Amino acid sequence: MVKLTLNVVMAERNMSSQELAKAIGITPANLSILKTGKAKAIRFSTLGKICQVLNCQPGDILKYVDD
Amino acid sequence: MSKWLKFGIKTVVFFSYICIAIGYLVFLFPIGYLFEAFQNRTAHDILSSSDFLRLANNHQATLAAVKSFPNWPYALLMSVGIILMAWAGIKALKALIKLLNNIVAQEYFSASNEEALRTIFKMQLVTFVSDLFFASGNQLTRSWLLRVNHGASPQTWSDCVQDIYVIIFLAAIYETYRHAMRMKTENDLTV
Repeated sequence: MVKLTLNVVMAERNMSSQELAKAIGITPANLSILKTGKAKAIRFSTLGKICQVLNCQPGDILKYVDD
Repeated sequence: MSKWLKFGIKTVVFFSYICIAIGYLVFLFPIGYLFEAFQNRTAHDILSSSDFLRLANNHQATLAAVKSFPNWPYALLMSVGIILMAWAGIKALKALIKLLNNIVAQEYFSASNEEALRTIFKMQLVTFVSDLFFASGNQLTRSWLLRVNHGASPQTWSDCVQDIYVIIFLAAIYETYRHAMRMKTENDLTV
């Protein structure tokens, strides 16, 4: 399954959830869904904004792990 | 939502509550059937009742047939049928009220709606079973006494077939709604 490692990248960039949510234009509740792994899907637009704000590649925040 | 639609839904909800109250009274009906069977006068009451029509091109039932009429099986079949029908009716109406109230509150996609639809579907299955009991009971009056029930609970085998169609319709609606709920959940969890 694909897991989001957003927490790790955010910690590396020293960025809080509030700041990131505001910067990419999503609600803190939605960011929480992403961070806790409850999300079923992520839009390309959201992924693009996260990468832009955190200055990273999609592969940096998405990891494939065996079930 | 338009004012008229809201008014219509609230009217249906009001009459549904009245039907539920009547539904609880229906639970008393089996007492009459059982009392008739106990007094051994079920066949006599059927023959003298205006609720039962004589079959066309048939003569009167013989005295032997009247005497051998299975009072207790008839009373039990009709009683079980009535209890199941009343139970299913009350549960289905309560689910319908919940569904309609959610529509008025504009909660179109909720777990409670899914639950209500599932209940209505299950209660239609119970209605099918109750109609089997009624059809069996009414078959007894037809075979023994040559009388067709057109009063209370006149269900025959063809009603059971109709029930199956309603079950299929409800199953299709329930399954479609369930799928829509899954899609909605997925959409809600897409960021």
